[in-house]
Amino acid sequence: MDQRLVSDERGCMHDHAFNFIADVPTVFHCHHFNLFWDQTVDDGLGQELGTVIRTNAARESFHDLLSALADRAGAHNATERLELARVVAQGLGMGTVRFDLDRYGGQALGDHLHHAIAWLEKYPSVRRRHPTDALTAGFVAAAAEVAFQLPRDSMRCREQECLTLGDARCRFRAELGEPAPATTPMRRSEVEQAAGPLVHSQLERDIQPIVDTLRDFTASIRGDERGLVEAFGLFVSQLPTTYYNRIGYDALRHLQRTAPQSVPVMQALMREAGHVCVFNTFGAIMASPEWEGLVGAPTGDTENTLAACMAIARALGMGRWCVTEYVHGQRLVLRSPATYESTYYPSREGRAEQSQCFMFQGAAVATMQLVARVQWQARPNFDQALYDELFRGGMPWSCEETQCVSKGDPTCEVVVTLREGRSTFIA
Amino acid sequence: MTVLTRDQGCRRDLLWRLHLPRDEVAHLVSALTRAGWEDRSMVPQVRDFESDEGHSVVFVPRTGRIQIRVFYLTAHAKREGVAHKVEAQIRAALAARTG
Repeated sequence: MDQRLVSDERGCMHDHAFNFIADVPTVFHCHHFNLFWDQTVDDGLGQELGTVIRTNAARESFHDLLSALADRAGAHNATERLELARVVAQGLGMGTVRFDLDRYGGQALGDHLHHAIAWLEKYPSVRRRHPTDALTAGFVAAAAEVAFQLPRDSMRCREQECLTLGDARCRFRAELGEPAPATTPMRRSEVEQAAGPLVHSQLERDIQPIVDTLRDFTASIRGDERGLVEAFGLFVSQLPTTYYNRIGYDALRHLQRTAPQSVPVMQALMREAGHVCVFNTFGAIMASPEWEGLVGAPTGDTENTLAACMAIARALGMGRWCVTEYVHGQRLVLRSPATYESTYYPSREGRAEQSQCFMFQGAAVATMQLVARVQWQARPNFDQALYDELFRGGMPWSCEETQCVSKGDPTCEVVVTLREGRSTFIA
Repeated sequence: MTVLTRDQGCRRDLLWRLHLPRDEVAHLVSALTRAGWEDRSMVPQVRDFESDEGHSVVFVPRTGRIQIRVFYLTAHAKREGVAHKVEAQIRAALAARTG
């Protein structure tokens, strides 16, 4: 059993630009986004509750993924299924997990886990006070459930030692509990049901060939011997979209119930995650030698940057992002027949009263930043200094999601506009 | 070959940049292969080699751009030195071809 198990089961809804593994919806994200999204939930809810929500979301989404893969691979007994889980973790870029589990629980050890390694790389002088790998804790619980054919959401797991706490390795303790209330699995059929009619994009002739090239390239991405994926100079993971969606919307729902005054702050942080994604992931991809070889070095032309951003979003599985209007430095309108956020929201949360694609909203603003304010020919370095310059100094853009599949609209549409009296000039 | 500089996207000294003159471009792949680097390229437009120590050389034949990726578990204080060592290995591999 090797990582081809994962790569062979990769699939996509080509026109809508959603990715799957064994028909479970997935998306590629980099370590900058992964750390920020987790931190957003912890900032909103506190470390204890944030960890519980992140663990539960990972357990649910990995149960679906591991059980689907176990069926397809013909892994019938517990030993085979735990071996499958080890291989899957490496194939997704999560690191290496070794299990010592039975049907009542046990322990697991994690080496080179994506979140822990990324934290130490990004914040080397910041010692955490809580473990960072709730994603892997949920994965361990799901692996036990699938291996011993236990009910979904019945295993509990906590990370007891963590590299980011100064421990030598990451250690997890699992124990059998009462099953949580059942949730509906998110599969390809749910995504297909939510996705709206296709939208035509400006620059489509430029966008689609890049998407096809990137898809071919990412199809063969796999973890190294430690289970980390390094691509485009980033640590990359391919995780179930349900993980990201559930922790974000569970956190919002909890805040709406307990501290409604904090909801706008949480939504703003979720939008900022979109900034982090486009700036770090899209920026690093476009600055990488892989991009230079596959597509060509960025020219800085508006059309070149816009087409690149739409293509990267599609290839990573974020949805069919389309440019429907662009006025240089003034206005950008993006549409998508659905995003990975709006394919999830209606099936779990019901019909929304307001637009819900916060990541897409932030990503649209960041796309405008890359198009209108980044000097590509000067070979910008996509580091914290440039991020602060672009995003922390008071951005000149306003942003509104004017349509959203989550509230019954046929598409998701985000309008980014230059604020009155503002300029795109960076002092 | 140009001097070694930090590349775009470089954080904490992991990514370094070189540029190969046009007349050397055709020789780098065979030079690195002969010097024992593992060719793990997925496409011909982007060549990707790995050393025994886990460092990578990503090379764009069309433009001559080289990116050295220092193995991510290398201690921060040692990364710049490692990048220079890899640069020296690339130069030696090319020199061995002509020498």
